[in-house]
Amino acid sequence: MKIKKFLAVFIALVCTISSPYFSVISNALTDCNSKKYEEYHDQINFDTLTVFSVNKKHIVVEIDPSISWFKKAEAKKQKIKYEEYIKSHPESEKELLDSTNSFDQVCVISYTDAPLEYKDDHYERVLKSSNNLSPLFVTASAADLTKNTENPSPRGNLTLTTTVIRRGVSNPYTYHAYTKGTWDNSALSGQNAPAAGNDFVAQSCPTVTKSSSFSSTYNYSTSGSKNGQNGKNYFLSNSGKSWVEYEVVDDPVGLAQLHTFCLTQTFSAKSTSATKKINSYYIHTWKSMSVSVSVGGNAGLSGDEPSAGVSLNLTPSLSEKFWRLSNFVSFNW
Amino acid sequence: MKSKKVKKYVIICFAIICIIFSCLTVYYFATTMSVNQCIKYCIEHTERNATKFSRVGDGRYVDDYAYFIAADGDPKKPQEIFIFKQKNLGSSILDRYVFVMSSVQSDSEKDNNSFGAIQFFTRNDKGEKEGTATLLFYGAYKDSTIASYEYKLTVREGSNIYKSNILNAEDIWFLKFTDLCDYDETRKKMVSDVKFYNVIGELVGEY
Repeated sequence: MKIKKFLAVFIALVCTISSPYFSVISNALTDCNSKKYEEYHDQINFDTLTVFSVNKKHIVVEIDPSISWFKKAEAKKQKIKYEEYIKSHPESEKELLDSTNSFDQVCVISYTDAPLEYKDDHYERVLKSSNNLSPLFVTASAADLTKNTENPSPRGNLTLTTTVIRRGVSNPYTYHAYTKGTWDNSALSGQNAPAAGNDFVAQSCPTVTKSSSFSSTYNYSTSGSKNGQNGKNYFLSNSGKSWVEYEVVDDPVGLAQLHTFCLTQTFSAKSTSATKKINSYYIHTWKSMSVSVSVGGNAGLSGDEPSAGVSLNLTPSLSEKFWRLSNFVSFNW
Repeated sequence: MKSKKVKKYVIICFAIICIIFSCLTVYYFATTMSVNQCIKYCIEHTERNATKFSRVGDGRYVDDYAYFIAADGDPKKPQEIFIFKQKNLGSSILDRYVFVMSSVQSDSEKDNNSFGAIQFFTRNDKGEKEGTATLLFYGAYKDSTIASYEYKLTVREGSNIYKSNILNAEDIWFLKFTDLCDYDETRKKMVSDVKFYNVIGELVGEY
């Protein structure tokens, strides 16, 4: 009898302790948008870290000593992840510094790196080799993956980074979710540019969108500037209460070779222990097409109570000549 | 017979509690530093070869932090600060600290060396991040003999420029602006255009 009771308590304990790990695994399974392609996803939660701006020029990130003993191990993990991220994405340090200097509190940074290869006048995503077909393949960074020199075609990389910052002094806070795409491509601008379709960038938030904006930069000057212009190079093409979608001009082998884009979505939410999830999507096309959006899940539409998250299903009107990359971030503060 | 058993259980429970408390106390002393240990830590990690660090705050009266500022060392190197936080043993307030951060962790070799500045978001008593920031200025007095400063303070009602003297600067000087925020109009408080002057009124640094 006693043994049975002990076993029941032990099993209950094991289930409680291991439940977060199951949720992580399930996230990895459902959110790895493409099990076919090589990509690396990770996120850094700054809840247990403190960001110091030194002389307005440098950043120091340290574990806050006031956090509970239980959170220490997680904090160490987040700090290591931050250091690895800055090593592989050094430009992000400047963005973090600018945020801190402008009183923007960084909550979380999430990113997905996708290696690309240039084939038949356009960039394609890199298929996973048969050895790496496990959906839990998250061990090598995209930088390592691009070192594969067996394929002589030009290689590139696309990084989709979502940074969430929090502003305000009490509930409800204002959150800004920035999804930035950075192309690192080695194909030169060509005269025989193929027909290039616009690309699509979408994002959903856990409450109601208060405002959104977009910006883009190009590798070459288009009409006197490398910066994209609203209405000409990008525009808001579709939106719902908790999501937005922008269309942006991209000609990977022409003058309008997209270098970066940034979609900003602002929403108000209570800082509670409820998980807030933000999903970001990018569809790269090389032929004109349209995209229809269907929404899954419900946003918290009243009282700034965040929902578990809203997911979008973007369906291009053509069945080929595009690929997609998504990124997601979840945090609870 | 029964009372003997109860007594035995009480002794075992008491012994377990004593062991737990002893372990916690050992852990506390092993993971915190006394003031002298903090200074030793600063001297071991200084990059301007400072031999003297002066403390501002003791984790109780100024705020949760204790600031150790280099009072000497190579004047050509950036100013240095080491920040520690007081850690209590249960409800007992002991003068022991844990390391938070130091300016030497940043790559500030080429920065202006007449003053140092650090900005960060503080946390409340529950350890949650607050929406307001703290801005610190600090330095060794003898390096640039900073005697006065001015700054622009912007609040809801508008902006004003204030001038003040550095008081009682012996070996170090330290300034702290708290509750900085530019989000909420009702709590708006911004500090900008900070200028530092030496004893003869020369401008020695700007932030």
